[in-house]
Amino acid sequence: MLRVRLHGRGGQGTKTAGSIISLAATLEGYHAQDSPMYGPERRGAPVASFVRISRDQVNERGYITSPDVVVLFDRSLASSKAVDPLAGLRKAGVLVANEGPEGTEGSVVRIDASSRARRLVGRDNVSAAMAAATCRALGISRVENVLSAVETELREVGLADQDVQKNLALAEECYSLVPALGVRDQDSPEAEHALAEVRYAPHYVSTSLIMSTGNSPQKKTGGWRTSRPVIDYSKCTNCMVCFVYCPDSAIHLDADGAPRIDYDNCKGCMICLTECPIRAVSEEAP
Amino acid sequence: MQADQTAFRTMKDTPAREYLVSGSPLCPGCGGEIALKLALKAMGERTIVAFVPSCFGLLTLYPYSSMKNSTLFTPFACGPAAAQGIVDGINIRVEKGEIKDPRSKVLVLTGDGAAYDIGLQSTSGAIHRRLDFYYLCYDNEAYGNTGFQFSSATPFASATSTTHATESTPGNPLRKKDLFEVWRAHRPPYVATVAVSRPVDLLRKFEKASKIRGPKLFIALGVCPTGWGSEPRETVRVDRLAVETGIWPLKEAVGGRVVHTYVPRRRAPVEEYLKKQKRFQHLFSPKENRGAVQAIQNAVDSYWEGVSE
Repeated sequence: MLRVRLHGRGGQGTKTAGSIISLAATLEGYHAQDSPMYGPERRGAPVASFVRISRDQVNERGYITSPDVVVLFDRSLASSKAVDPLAGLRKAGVLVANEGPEGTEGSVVRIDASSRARRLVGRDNVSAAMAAATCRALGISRVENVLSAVETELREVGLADQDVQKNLALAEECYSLVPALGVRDQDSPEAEHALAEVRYAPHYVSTSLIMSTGNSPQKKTGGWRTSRPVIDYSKCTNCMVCFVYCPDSAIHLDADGAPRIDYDNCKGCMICLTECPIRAVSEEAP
Repeated sequence: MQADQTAFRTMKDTPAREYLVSGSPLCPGCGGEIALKLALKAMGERTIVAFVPSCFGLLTLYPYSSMKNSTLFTPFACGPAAAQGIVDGINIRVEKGEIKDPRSKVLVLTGDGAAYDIGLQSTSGAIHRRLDFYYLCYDNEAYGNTGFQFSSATPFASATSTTHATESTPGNPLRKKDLFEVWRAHRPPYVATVAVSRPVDLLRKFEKASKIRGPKLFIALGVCPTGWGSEPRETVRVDRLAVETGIWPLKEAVGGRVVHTYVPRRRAPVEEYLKKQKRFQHLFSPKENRGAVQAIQNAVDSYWEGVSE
């Protein structure tokens, strides 16, 4: 069985890429299964999805803790301790990463899918690109079946015709850029975790009581940002518009009534930029 | 209320203190989150929030909470029933002499799924019993937390994950349920609609409601970039267009009498609002569905023809 784990950010196409890889393998006659991480985090937040591919029926379920292949959609996740994308990657496992400079070294494949997607599709959604590169690197599917899977899955998520066509061109390009590494699959099952016995506990122990209110700033959602709003204080008139409209209360007023952005938690929605009546907010790299 | 009796005259009067804090798991550019943020500013610290499964259910997700207020998570259909329990509990403690001046407000916070569909019966019961509570529905016009499935708040022609736009159907074939009128038919002392692009109007309505005993009900437009396919940075613009096209009327009913608190002088064509959102994209591309767009415009026009104040 081949186990593939994909790490990306909400909105990049991590889940859809898993579905494409899974369908492409199925079209080649493999058994395949794919599932996304279930979680509450949103666009820009770290997400993951999982694919299992096998010649036999896939009976294994759940998250993949020891993948043969890791597909990394966003370089910034590599340094995140909370995500730790390479965790459990098996020896001689393959990494397919969305980053430049492009090339293949040993079992690490780098492809600048984001730049290619921006050029060919016009937006940074790399589901088709990363899925095609992965299918090629693993040698699990011929290009025609990869393209067929891309088309089916992108139509499924409601992409318009012209966007599907652009993504097909992108997928074909990425497929051709990557060498077929081939990966030896592993027969051994994933390590089993012993079941923990949960004893009866009174409600004040067993209920998830949060005794500290308003503590979510500790979560540091600033990592979700794809753009950074920057206030030009030489123009700012302290009109409070950005403060009122910041959905996340990530802009507060200092003692002089000037707006201050909490970059630890600003998600980069850029409403402050759009609403600033005197255009004192600019957009910079995250 | 006379204008001179309000603490909120301009945006500058928006209270600086935050009760909704950063670090929530909500999407960047969430319109409903702005509505909640402003509502809590107007309501203050001693507000107990009872909320139900919804995107905003994620505002307290163990071990984190994004509200400084006390919160209680309840089953989907039971927000107002839980509010009854909280109000009764406070009253009993007052009777026993355990607390003197509770000064607590109880806010039920739900999305449109609970307000329009799943929790409507318990809301109906609570209004009927004249429960002294606030209800804020942030209406993003679908089940946004689970993948944007259609709800009875979904407007006509909106594509959702359960009302696809096909050649024969332009997205949702049904019209949006008029929850304002459903609630008003129960004769609550206060019911209002709000939109974040008019924050002073929003703050004033919560201020006015705070002087009224009994059920105080609010529906806030919740622009949803993820579900609607609008740009996160355009959330307030989209909200403003909903108001300026007349699609989202701002009104209140005190003791049942409906008054519009803002009447757009010259209503913008509905296209300006629709074109900002992918959920309506099929009305314009690959070819324009003039009939559906006109039907939306006609519904708006006929609504405003019936408006006298």
